[in-house]
Amino acid sequence: MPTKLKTDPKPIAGSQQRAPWINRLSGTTKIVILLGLSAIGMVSYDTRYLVLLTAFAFIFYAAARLKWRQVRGLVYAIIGFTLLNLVLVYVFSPHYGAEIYGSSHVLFGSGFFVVTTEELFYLLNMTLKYIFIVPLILAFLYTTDPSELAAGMNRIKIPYKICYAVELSLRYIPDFMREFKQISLAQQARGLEISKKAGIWQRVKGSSQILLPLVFSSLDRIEVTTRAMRLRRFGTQKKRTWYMSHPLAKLDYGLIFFTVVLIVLGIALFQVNGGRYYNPFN
Amino acid sequence: MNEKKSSRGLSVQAVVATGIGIAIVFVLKRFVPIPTGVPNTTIDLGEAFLTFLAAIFGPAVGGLTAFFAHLFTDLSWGDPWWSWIIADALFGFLIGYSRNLLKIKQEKLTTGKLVKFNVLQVVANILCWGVLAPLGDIWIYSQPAGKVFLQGVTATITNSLAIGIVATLLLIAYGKTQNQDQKLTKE
Amino acid sequence: MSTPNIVFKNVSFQYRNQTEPTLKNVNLEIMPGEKVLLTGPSGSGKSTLDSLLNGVIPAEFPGELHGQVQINGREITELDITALSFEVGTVLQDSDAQFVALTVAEDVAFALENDQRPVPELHERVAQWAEILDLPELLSHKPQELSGGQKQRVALAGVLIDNEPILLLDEPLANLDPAAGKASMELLARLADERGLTVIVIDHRIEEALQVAFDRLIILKDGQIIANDTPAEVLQTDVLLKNGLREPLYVTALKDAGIDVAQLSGLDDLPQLELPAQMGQQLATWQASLPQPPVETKPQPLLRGEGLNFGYAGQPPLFTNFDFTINAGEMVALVGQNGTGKTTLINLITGFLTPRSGSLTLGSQPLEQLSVKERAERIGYVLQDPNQMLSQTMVFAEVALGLKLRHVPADEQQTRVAKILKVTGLYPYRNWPLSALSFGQKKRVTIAAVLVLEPEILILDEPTAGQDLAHYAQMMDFLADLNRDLGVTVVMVTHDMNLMLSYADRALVLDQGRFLAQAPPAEVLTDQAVIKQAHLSHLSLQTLAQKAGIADAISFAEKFTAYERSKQHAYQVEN
Repeated sequence: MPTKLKTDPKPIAGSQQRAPWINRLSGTTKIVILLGLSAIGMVSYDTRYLVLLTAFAFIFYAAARLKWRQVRGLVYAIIGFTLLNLVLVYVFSPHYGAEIYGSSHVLFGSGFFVVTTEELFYLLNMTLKYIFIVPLILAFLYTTDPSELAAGMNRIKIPYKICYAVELSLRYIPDFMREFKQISLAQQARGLEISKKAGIWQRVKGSSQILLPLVFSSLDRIEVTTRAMRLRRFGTQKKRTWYMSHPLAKLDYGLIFFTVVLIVLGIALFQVNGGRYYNPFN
Repeated sequence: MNEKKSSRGLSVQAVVATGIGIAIVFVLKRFVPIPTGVPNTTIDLGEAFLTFLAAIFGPAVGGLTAFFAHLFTDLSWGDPWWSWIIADALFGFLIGYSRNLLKIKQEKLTTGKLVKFNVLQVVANILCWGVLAPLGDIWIYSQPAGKVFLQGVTATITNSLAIGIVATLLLIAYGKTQNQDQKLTKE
Repeated sequence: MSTPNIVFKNVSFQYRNQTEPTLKNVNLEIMPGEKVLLTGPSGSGKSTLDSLLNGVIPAEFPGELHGQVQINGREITELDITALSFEVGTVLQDSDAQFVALTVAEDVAFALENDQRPVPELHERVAQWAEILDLPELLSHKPQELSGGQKQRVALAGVLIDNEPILLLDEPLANLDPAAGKASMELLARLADERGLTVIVIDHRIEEALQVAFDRLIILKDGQIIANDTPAEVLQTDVLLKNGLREPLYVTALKDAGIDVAQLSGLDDLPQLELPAQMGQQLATWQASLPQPPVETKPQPLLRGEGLNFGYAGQPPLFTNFDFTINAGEMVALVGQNGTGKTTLINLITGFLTPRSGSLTLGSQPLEQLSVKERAERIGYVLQDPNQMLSQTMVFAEVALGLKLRHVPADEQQTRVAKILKVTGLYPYRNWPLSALSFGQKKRVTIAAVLVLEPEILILDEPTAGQDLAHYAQMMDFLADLNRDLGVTVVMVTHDMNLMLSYADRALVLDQGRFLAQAPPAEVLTDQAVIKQAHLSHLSLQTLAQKAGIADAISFAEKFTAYERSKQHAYQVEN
């Protein structure tokens, strides 16, 4: 193709690395692990449990054998994002930790911005909740064949039409990145100023000059693609099969089983702790 | 559309619109944010395109597109934030009902309709970003109210603005291509 | 005699939102195993006929059907788009849109997946069809990684996997370079013969399509069939040219020389055509009487690139120490196979891409410091797809946009835009919405929008893509006038060898980041090695000259195309 983007379209799923077992995992397994851990980690505030989840996630990260330069940019972005959130939380509610844990051990400072052990502990938990799943996602981003996702989603009973919409989106992301870039340059040649020099209002209006061609070409694309799919009988049956679907292997079942155990453990801890928080202060 | 309902669920066109919608909204969210000057907040053109798409293809396409586009964007940053993903999906779903209001494929787009559309989008934004997303952050993630409402209000304002300007322009332009019954003459 | 598998009896069709029927009283029979080329000027009803055959009408476009259409013995009214898909396989014009899956294998399997065939069967049949269409090593490739010809083979596999008896192809030659187009037609002919398929090709590139044998050539005009015979018979008449369609150039040459083509059998098969000696003599005498077009040399360099280095991230470098020169006042054709760096080179010139090193100079001005916007004021670039450039809703506003964004005073905008609109013949449409224009008209709007900035160089990517003969000639003559009268230097990226010979002073043949040749088109077209390497093609005129024993085949081709250009004005349609 003549016009390639310099930015490599890899965000959702990229090239496969030589990794021992993680590449053999089926898409279904990865979706189940990701959704399951993400859901339980979202709710739980048990520090010990979150550390356990983080350790589990790092097993996948290690298996993916990623190079630091591959993930460097994302890791910095996540650190920046997490720090910003921590600061915001602290600035808005320095007493939130004390409120949750029902005690207040002052470390230093006084007045509104007093620093308590409870607040720091709460912030530690929050940080864990932000980052525990990151190693897992990084590993999956770089080791998952995008073709497996739709088939994998359909296996966990998500309606096949929704799964196919996802397949189509993955097929079109590189195309639209290229097209967006091309249109944006063509509009700059027309005289559009979209650099940082222009004011925000100018940039919003300017971007609609880029969006308009993109929107109309995408509406055309929707029409032609619909025709192409109907001419090959998409959506005429209650189900469909998938070229890319593979039966689950022992490893898949094993990991799904282990994930379920982890989730049950997380729920059990709610009972033990009498709630979502693990409270070391009483 | 006289599509024969030989199977249940989405029409083929809705599937394609969702797929292409996810791709475009993702590209816009991920690669073309316009910073506002307020830290961590950007004008999100993805939401503007999402709204436009939902206004043409309806709630199902809007909801699904919003859900997956937001999920993919978060995943590409390494961290899904479910309360906002769900709020976005709900926003896409709600704004999809503007299809019934605009009827852009059949009827002329009047100023009155655009005003109603904008009222609707602002209400949907307030509900989803100003109320639901922060409440989700509080209930699910146990974050302090002050912080999440600040983020929610900022998102409400920037999204309402992006949609109010960009999506409205897109709708006007699209409306002009749909009703071409006026007689064109060379002069 | 077997029974026909497609029958049209007194068929008329009118779209719901139109006042006139698009097809009028069409009668047609196509026998099993026939290969049919269906052609006609824009708006003749070709696509309506196509949509009736595969069920897109009425599934997407409702309307009123009169008369009888039967496919494989069944009434079309009893068949919907799904049932029809088992009888008629359709390859859409846009093979990129036809590709709906993430990889080749999945796309080939798509129809069978939708039929819920078991997974092992999917793999087996995909492997089988990949073998037939020479795709095995491409199975895991993404659409973005394929050439136009490869995408078309994937599209064929994805359709043929159903074993339908009828195959329908909409403009299979669009977007292919000459060599890929020929290969594609040959593949199609081979498949049709081996599998006994009925093949219907809809295309207006008649000469290119007829590189393989068709049984029938059908011409539609205003919704009616005006010719329906063997290609040889149809070519003997003047029905093609009269209706704004491009005749194979060698046929036009024979006719212009006053040769009675009715005496020639197999007129559609040039390689096998036997030209009697006295006819060859007649052709030779006629061509000797044609004036030799003047060769102008324009040696003053205008745009120069020196020592350019460029490669896409993660790929081997495309240009290494690359030099090029465009001379002032030239019309240059940039040719070469798809994906060989033509568009990349243009993007480096326009500033869409930045070279790793090397210099670009326009006149005496180094281009490095100029932004995309500033370069555009001196180097106008018309993209292949006008839809990527158009961002306004009305014609006048679109053309004025570049001036407006450059803060040109309003009254000056008015006069400059009006002037350009008149030059481009768009003035009558100045108050029209862009959405009401045809593809060719939109392309002209983009040219106007670029010209209004008064650039010194105009670069056009595929200026004539998607235009029929009349509009093609109009567009090219317009560019030639601009070049001659206003002195605008014109660079055209093209796959059309006839266009190159007729209009270009010089051809730059690009191959994998280097020039294979920089020479007058005639020289390029006589260099066998360059033609093969760069995926170009010979002209049919050269073959004809050889058959007639004319020694200087390329000079014959040059003279003839110059003569054609002067004659074509006669066919130009007013809009």
